[in-house]
Order: sequence, then structure tokens, then C-alpha cells
Amino acid sequence: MIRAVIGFVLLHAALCGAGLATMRALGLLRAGQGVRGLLTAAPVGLLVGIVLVIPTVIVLLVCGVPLTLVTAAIVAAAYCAVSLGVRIRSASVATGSWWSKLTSSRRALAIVLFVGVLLVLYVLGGLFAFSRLGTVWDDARIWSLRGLTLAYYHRLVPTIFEVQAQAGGHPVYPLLQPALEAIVSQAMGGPQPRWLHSELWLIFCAGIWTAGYLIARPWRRTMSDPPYWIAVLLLVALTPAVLGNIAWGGADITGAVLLSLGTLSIGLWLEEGTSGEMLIGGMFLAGAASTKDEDAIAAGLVLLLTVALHISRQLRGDRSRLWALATAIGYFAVIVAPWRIWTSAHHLTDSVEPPLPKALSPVYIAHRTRELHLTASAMLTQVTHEWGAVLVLFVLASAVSLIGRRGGWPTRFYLFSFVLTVLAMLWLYTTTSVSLAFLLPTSMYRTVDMFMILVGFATAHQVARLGCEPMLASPPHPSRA
Amino acid sequence: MGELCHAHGRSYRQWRHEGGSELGPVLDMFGSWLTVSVRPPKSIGSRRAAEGAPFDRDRCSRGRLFVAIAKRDAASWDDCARFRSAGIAVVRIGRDWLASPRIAAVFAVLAIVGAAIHLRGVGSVLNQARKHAVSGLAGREACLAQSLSGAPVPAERIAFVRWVKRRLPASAVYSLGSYEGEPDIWCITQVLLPSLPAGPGARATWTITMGTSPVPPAERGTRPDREVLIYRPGYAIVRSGG
Repeated sequence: MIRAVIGFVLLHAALCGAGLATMRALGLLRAGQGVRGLLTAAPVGLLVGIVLVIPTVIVLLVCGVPLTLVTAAIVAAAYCAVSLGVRIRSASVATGSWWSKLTSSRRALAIVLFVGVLLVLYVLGGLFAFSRLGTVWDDARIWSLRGLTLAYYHRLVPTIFEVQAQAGGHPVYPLLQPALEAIVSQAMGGPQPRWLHSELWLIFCAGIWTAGYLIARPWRRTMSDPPYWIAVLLLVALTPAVLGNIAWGGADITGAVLLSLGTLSIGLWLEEGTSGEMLIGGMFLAGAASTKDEDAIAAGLVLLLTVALHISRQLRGDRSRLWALATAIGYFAVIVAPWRIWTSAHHLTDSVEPPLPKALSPVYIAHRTRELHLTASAMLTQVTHEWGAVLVLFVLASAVSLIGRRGGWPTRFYLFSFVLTVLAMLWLYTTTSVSLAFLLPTSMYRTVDMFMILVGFATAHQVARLGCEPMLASPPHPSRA
Repeated sequence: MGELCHAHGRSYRQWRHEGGSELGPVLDMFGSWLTVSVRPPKSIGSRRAAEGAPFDRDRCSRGRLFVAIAKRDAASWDDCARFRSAGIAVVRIGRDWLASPRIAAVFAVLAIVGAAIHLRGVGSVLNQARKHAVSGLAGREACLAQSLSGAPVPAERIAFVRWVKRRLPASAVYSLGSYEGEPDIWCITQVLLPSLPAGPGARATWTITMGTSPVPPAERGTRPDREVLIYRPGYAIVRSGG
């Protein structure tokens, strides 16, 4: 057991290291903050490490390279090495003294420590509780089936990945979660499907932290202001609705967290951000697209929307922004394409997939109004049942931002992203040939997570801006000077 | 509270030294519809003080050059980004109702209510997770008791799969024939890993018969290259070489 825990910790430290090195290269890591700064950025580094290393390992796996701990270590080391040689010029964030403000008095320090201890206990408690759950439902039949196979065989075993009857449904689903489970199992000395739940819990908690970190970055001086902590509270308030899905071990939360972080990063980039935010947004979106098909569609739409907004802002002459956008799209394509090519080459299809190109026809959709109505009703019921407060906050925050002319492009971007993602889900359910009587009750309760976590992160960003003043010290754009 | 879009750019003293040439394009761009004035940080602070609004001079007293936009309604947040081209900071002067503590309070209350509504659910899920704790082996076999079709899962099949798992070698390639029913084939495949099911056209080294029919006559008996292990009538595994 001790060996397994040590392996678990070491693996995450390595992923975190690769992520932190990349963040430093992208100018997203504050320099001169010492251990405290590294600890603050560690959860962000972990997620960045996961979305960098695991999809790269999958690309190598498709190319025939065994999926082993050694491969992952080499990839992580390579990213570290490259990151050390690259340094994107970034905004130097104004050095605020939020920590000293928070801890300026004994009372404030006591509150900070109390809240900090509560959060740590919450995370550790969840980690412990989830680490002993059984492997059930889709986890057993899709994710852990593939994860354990990769852990045992380090390659794409034909009978598991190629034969429809054995693929446990959704044979074309990408491999980020199974590959992560395989790597975790190898690090722990053998298959550990129970720990997958803890891994999902870690990803979710790190996602919440990352959202707060990214939102706080350009507003560094205001971390001691109430709106920031309201945003943090809002992020923590998201957890109740997702705990059940984490317990079931599906990939919905993983994909939703990565998609939402990608969208949030791009929202920050559209607002004031630097190239680093766009690039990290592209990485998160590529990670989301490597998790589930629904997330892949949504991530693609978010990227298309970003391009459209970039063009409509008439900033085409801004080379640094154009370069960042093009690089993010290129990275996305390089990470996502190999698995899709592989599944196409092996003639794998998913019974849930809409019949293309027929499903794109308005006539076809018009003939399926009953399915559309059923899907919309189920979606609305689910959203209002578990996410009602978050949705109300999102609408309010967007309205306040737009009315007050504070919202600008980020608010529009979040609203369009939300609408596009919902429309994509409606289209998927409406046009699938699988019976909705089976599909809706067994999946809608978790698929709404995809756009509702996005809504939560977007709301947190907008709430954090209330009464806050960004203190970025960006250099002027040479191309526009 | 003023809205500070950017605090970058050259110092006021430096700008004065250079004759303020950088502001030209900005005035060309916005001068027709905005009242743009260039002020040293100190004067902005004074103006804010004169308006009776609290102004954190520390935020603007970093020796930067600022442009004050008097007509706040005419400039959206996004317009501020355009000033970046001149490397100057922008402060919008005027009352900013979005900075009102009441707005923040509304969001705080809604966020707390939203969290509180589901607080019980959080405790329940974590408590359920604690109650349903299983061992590693039982965890992997948990899906055997679940029915995808809604039909009850025969207890003897669950016991049989566990029995098979103890006997199949790790390198075994098995066939389940035309097996259907509960527990489902995907769950069985996961439980029996690292043994693998045989793909189409591939030769299985083990055949698993599970409740669908008795062991085929051809498979009965023991030969040097064949081994039959019977769990109970209708449930058996047959090794056929390999």
C-alpha cells in the first residue's frame, strides 16, 4: 500500500513538474514567489501536465510506442526540457500583496487558516472516500476496461479496441481517461481501478483551483477583495452537482473540467490576456477533445468561435494574438487527429453517433421534432434540478456585465460558447439512432455537466470583475504601436 | 472606484520628456467622440477626491501615464484594449455602479444559497462512498451485480465468473461462444482481464460455457491437449491446447 501511495504521489509530482515548467515558459507562473508561489500553482501545473503528457502519450501509442511509465516520464522530461529553453514574453503581473493583506491581522490569518484547513480536509476526505469505491456502470464497461487493458498490455489490444462487440460501446471514444488510469496503475505497481475515482476527484478539485488561479492572475491585487472570494465560493458551490458522477467514475467530469478551463482561458485571453492564456486554453481544449466525443465537438466549436470573434474584433493585424491562436489550433489538431485517423482506419463506428451527413440536413432534423422536444425537456429538467442557482447566477452576471458595458468580448464569448454547446448536445441527442427512452435516463444527468461547469467558471470570471481593476502591465503590441 | 484598464506604458515624466508624441494616434482615434485628457497620477487622484468617491491612490501612483476618459458611457471595456497600442493606461472617471457592494452582495448571497441547497447532497454522496467501500478485488467485480437490461442477474453466474477468474491463466485467450444476458459481456471482459477474449477468426485457448447449454459432448472427457473444469451443470471451462 505504501509503495502504491508513493507511486501515486511521484507520478503526480512529475506531471505537476512538467506542467509548471510549461506554465513558466508561457509566462503564466509568477516569478519570485518561492515555495508559496509554486504551491499555489501546483494544482494548475498538475492539470497542465495531464493535458500535455497524456494526449502526447496517446499519439505515441497510436504510432506504436508502448504506453508505459517510462514513455510518460520521457514525454514529461521532454516538455520540461523544451519549456526551459522557451520563454514567451508575458505580462508582468503587478506585484500585489494579497497574501500580506490577508494575513495582516491575527483575525484575518485565523480565518484564512480555518478556511484553508476546511478545504484541505474536504479534498482529502473526498480523496479517501472515493478511493475505495467499486468499478461500476460505464466505468467498468468503457473506461476501466480500456484503462486496465492498457495497464496490462501497454498497447491497443485488437479485441478490446477494434472489435465492436467487445468494445463496451463507444469504441471511438478517445483515450485520455483510460491512458491516465493505465499510467496511474503502473505507477502504483499494478491495476488500481478504485483509485480512478480519486483521480477524478483530484482533477475536479484541481480544476476549481485552476479556474480561481487563472481568474485571479490578471487581478492579482484584488485577491483580498470580496468579489474574488465570491467567485471562489461560486466555484466551490459547483461541487455538489458533480460528486455523484465522480463516484460513478465516468469521463464526463474530466472532459467538462478541461473544456471549461479551455473556454475560461480563452475568455481571459479575449479580455486582456497574453499569448500564454490562449496557448494554455488550446491545451485544455485538446485535453477535452481527447476525453469524450461530446467534448471534442464542443471544443472544436469553441475554437471556431474564438476565430470568429478574433476576426470580428478587427485585430487581424495583431501578430502576437494571431500567432497564439494559430499555435493553439495547430496543437489541437496534432493532438486530436491521430486517434481519429486510427479509428477511421480500423472502421470503428459508434452506435450513438448521428448518421452523417444525413443528420446535418435541416429536413432530417425537422422530422425529429419529437426527439428534440424530449431532449430539451430532459435537459431543462436536469439543469434546473441540479444547476438552477448556477444558471441564474450566469444569466445575472452576463446581464450585469453587458448592461454595464463591462462584459465586452469575454461575456459574449461565454454566452455564445454556452449556446453552441447546448445546441450541439441537442443535435446529438435529436439525431442519434439509439432510443432516447434508453439514452436520456442513462446519460442526461451527466452530459449536462459539460456546459454547466463551463457556465460556473464563466460566471466566476464575471463576478470576479465586479468592482475589480486589472493590474496587468503588458507591453504595447509592436505591430500596433 | 475608477476602472483602470491598463497600468502599463511609460512614466509620465518620460512621456513629457518625449513631448507626448505617443498620444497623437489615440487622440485621432477617439478624440472625436471622447473627451480624452492626459493627467499625471496625482491629478487623477485629486479629481477622484473632488468627486467625493474613494480613490485608492496607491493603485495609480506607480509613476505611470494615464488617460482619463470622461464620458464613461461612451467607452466599453473593450475600448481600453485599443489604448494598448500607445502604451498608456486608461482610467474611466465617474461613478461605477458595477462596483457597488450591493451587486457583489447579491452574487454572494446567491452563491451561498446555491451551495447550501446542495450541501446535504454533498454529505450524502461522501457518506454513501464511505459506506460502499470495497476491497480491491470486490471493486473490480462490482459490475457483475449490475444489470444493464433490467433483468435480474443470476447469482450462480456471478459466482461462476469469480470461479473462472481464479482458474484462467493470465495469458489465456478465451471464447464465450454466443453468450448473451447478465452479467453483460463487457463487465465479464473487464473482470477477467488480463485474460483476453478471442477476436473474430482468432483461436481461443479456453472456452467458457455459462448457463446456456451443457458442456458440448465433443468437449467432454480429458485428453492430453484438453482439460475440462466443471463448476456445475451448464457451467464449465474447457482448455483446448495453447
